[in-house]
Amino acid sequence: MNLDLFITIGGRAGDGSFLVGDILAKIFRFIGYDVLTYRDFPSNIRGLPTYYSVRVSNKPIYAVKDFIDYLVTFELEAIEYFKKAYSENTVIIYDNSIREVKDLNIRNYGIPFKKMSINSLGSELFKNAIALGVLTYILGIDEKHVLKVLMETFMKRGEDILDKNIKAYRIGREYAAGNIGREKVITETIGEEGFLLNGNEAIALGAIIAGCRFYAGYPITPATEIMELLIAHMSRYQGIAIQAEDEIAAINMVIGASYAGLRAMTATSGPGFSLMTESLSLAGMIEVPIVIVYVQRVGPSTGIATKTEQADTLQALFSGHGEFPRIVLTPGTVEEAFYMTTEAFNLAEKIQCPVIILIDQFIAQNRETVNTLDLSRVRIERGKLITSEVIGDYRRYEITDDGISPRTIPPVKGGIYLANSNEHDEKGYTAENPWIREAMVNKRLRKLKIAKKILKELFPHKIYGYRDAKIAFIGYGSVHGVILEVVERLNSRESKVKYLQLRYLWPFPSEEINEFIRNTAKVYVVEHNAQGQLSELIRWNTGVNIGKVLKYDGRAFRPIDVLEVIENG
Amino acid sequence: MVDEKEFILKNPVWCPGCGHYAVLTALRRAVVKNNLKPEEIVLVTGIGCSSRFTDFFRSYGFHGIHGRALPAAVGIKLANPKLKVIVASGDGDTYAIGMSHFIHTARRNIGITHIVMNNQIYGLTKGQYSPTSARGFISSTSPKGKIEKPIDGVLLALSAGATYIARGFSGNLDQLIRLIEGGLRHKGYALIDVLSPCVTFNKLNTYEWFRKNTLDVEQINHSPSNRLEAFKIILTSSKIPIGLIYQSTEDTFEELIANSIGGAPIDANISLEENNYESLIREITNI
Repeated sequence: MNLDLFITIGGRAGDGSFLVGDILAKIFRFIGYDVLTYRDFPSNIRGLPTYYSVRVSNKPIYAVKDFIDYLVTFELEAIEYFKKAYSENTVIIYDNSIREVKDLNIRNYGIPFKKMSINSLGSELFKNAIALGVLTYILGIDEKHVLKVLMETFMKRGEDILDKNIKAYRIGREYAAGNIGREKVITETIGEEGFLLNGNEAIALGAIIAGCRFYAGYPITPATEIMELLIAHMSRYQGIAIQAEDEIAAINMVIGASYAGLRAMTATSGPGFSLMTESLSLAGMIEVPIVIVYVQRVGPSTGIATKTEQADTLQALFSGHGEFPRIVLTPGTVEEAFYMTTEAFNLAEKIQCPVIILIDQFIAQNRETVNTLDLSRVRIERGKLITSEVIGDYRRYEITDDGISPRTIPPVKGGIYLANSNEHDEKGYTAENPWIREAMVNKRLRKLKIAKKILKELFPHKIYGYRDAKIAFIGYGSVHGVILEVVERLNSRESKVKYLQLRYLWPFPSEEINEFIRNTAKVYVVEHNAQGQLSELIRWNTGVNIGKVLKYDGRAFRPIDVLEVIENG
Repeated sequence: MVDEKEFILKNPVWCPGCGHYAVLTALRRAVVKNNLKPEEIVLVTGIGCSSRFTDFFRSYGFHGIHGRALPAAVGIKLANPKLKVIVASGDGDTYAIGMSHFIHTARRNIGITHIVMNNQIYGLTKGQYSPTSARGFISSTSPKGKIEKPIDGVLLALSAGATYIARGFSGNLDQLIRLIEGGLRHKGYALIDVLSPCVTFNKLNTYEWFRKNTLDVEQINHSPSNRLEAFKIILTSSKIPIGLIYQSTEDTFEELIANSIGGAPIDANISLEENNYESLIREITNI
């Protein structure tokens, strides 16, 4: 039997709705379901509404669902907020401690979570566990699974807290048994082994495993978790992760550490990346390998810190003064984010240039089921790095056929050179004469050819659907999941469509795109911005007018959002 | 013993009479006296006349961008604490665009020897006032006289918690060598602010002017181990104090971090075979 549920937990920050969402996600993962979580929350610690959605299915899932199946909420604004996400199957369960909601034409249950919690446990803190009891009973989840996850979650907070949560959970369960009844029976399924991971976690993990031993960053939503994880875990692998005074310091520390021989990384979001761009150009000029994780959020300026957008696509590709090579990787899933991070360090060292891992808040902060992280797929390749004495005349920026020159690190004997932000000769010393200038520009840009060759082998752009389809989709990053669902849905009807997932955006894959769109009647680019940045970029490169499927309200695409644009032409 | 010539990459080219010639000579002699080899040194510079040091001084070099020499030096030092990391910068680089890095590097007490060539002017861009120019100073961007108060880098370093604070003068080479030598030997962040006249654009702060308006604290029985005394001499002296203003011995950032990570990051073995990542994966994935 197919099961595909979309459950949203609402509350004010501090109500514990995230905890219910997390526990629910873990229970479903534990009994073998594919899980995807989606957090919709304000940049605020307490007081404003926050929403945590969990989609679960016994089939693989890639995106949020069109409509909510169950909305469980501790505050009443949520009922209005989600009005466009209701279908005839939606059930609303809300806390009626404050008031009853009249005239709802959706099936609904008012339950006094807050009052029940205060009456039986002396505090409203346990209303979320009561709600968990109600929901898991209605869904017919075996009690033993819930208890196991409750134990795991609350054991570390002490027995008293655990006992009270279990008690509250049982109160909710009994209430549901007496007043609502079972609506579903969710049994264990034979899902693959695996775990829940978000993009930030996958990237932090990938970095350490790839041998990154230096991280400097500055707190910024939605990238901060990467720094927190690295500060927590890097030290046991003899690495340093530090909080710098600002993003400019962070990237320059990273450049310095890499110059001295470490694999080094920083992570930031739009405002921080804007500050880093002068130094990005420095890394390009002195050919120091660095990795920058760029987690996009809603802009311009401060924008909406906790919401998703892809409006920095062009900034990631073109920022920084002057011309220098860079690589921009665009993982579309959490799993890809892991493997791409491990390869980002190889690419940075092989090509000796900045590598940007471009994701957005959706991938960074929402958890997905990841079946396995296969360490045998991880390699450490450091390119033309010299760590022992150099005999003879050493030229750090030697003009080579592929543009890549041997790189020493201090204190290698015979390897002295100047990493020079000024235009320089082969030894790194300041040079302004025209033929050296031209030769150096060519040498640096030549490296992109090798980059392209490696990337084609490592992360070929993926084509889904019917190869001969006349209708085509293109997208990168967080829209990957939603396009997959749209393609699946359309192809299961009479339509024939295909989809190209771009897994890197620089060097820009114009040949692959040209090849993909040849003989198509209509091409759509799905992206989270208002002007269709990728769509325009493709038009500049191909001369073909591209349909734009855009969303810039800060929320993730639902399949229906894409389908509506296609169907309305 | 290493020869001074080992540290000569090129003969320097600044305006004839520029104070920076003496600073370069002093640095070369100080590294020789400290028995350092060119490979062990990373000289980091930003932008400005002072930052041309990396064109003339032979060692590993890093010529970065305006104001950001310190964070790059921090990255280098933390990656490999065995390297001798020296920063050469100017008053604009350090006390204007790079001010926040200056304060933060000082308070972190990271082992960097920081020489600031302070000429109270922007020379490379041909004569704009700097944060250390005096009130009323006439320049191309202060034609009616500078309105702002000047910044005192030495006072700032002292309040920020720097552990070696000295001020030298290009007109006093012997003392300058000693001050840089002391900075190189010092454990932690060392600031050597050097009054280094710009003979082309700064017609006020000349060699003669500095000779008249400086006070050598070594001549007046100043105790550099006393922080309060150091504040007192900076705040009360009618002349600019030069010499070793303050020094204390404190743990460095890199020492404290080495205690918790078990060694220098550069010595970490990053091969997949040598590391156990299974427990890390379990912790991060909550299994």
